[in-house]
Amino acid sequence: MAAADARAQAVCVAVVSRANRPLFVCRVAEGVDELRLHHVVHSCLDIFDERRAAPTPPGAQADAYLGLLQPAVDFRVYGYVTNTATKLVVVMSDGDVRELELRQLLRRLHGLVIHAVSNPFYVAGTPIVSTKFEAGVRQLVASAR
Amino acid sequence: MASPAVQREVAATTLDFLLIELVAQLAAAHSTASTSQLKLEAIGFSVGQKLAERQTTARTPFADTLDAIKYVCKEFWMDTFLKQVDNLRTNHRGVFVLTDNRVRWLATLSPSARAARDGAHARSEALVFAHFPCGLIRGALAAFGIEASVSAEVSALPACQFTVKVVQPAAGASTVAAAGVAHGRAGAPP
Repeated sequence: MAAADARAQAVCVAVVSRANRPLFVCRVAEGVDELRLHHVVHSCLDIFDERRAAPTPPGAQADAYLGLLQPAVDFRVYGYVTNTATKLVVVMSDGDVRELELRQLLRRLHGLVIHAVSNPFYVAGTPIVSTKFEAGVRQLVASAR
Repeated sequence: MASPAVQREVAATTLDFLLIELVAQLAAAHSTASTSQLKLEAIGFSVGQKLAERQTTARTPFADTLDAIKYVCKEFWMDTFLKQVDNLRTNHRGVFVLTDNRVRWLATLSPSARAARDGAHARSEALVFAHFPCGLIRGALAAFGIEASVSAEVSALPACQFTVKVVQPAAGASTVAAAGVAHGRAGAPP
């Protein structure tokens, strides 16, 4: 594990609704206080709105991937917002982050979320409670390591 | 999308028959026409929401309401009805009229004997099949954060007019951005 230390690891994956309601917050690394992760995710939600409201510079394409939202002491928070304003958040541990991989990861996560909300047992706007979704997220994060 | 290469397909006929059965079943299950109409609309709503979620993954975010409506008229319509909306009109105050000269789901309908004599009956007869698409549109817009009411009018049979009335966000609650309905919900504290 010594070689992997320099690379940032995903610590938490969260899905937040348009109305800023947390739909899914999942700790994917050991040894981190869950409550603190909730706090970190919550504290970056305003930044989503800020980025969304900011006009896109001419020539640039508006992108779902928002990149680094904010560094939070020993974490780095990355965001992605879908066209339907669902916010996807990945909290990374401090270290070397490969943006390209992270972008991939968030796009795949988006795919998983779509499958989860297409589940007929899922009621729109409620927390996502799905073993399949959670397993998918864990697998996604594990494959990125 | 996880794998855009894998396009899932479904026979259009299956979908046609499903809708016809849906309408018939709901009409039989509910005594009043308005209840079955509401149910159909609700089904359309949740389908529209999920469809919109699924189909906009590769798109850049919408700039404003008009952008979202245009998406519904073009891509969303293309995916649902295999064609685009023929005409879109707006009063620039939140009312949009989408005219489709040949709605797939109405194309197979032929007015009944009674409807042939009575024009008003023909319209209401065909209208039953338009509630589901109404719900679809409303669901898609709701997924983009646009609250709207959608009504349909069938004038000459395969053609249908959908009127979308966007519910403007309460003035004074925040700065009313002219076109910022889609993303205008500035973070209310959770």
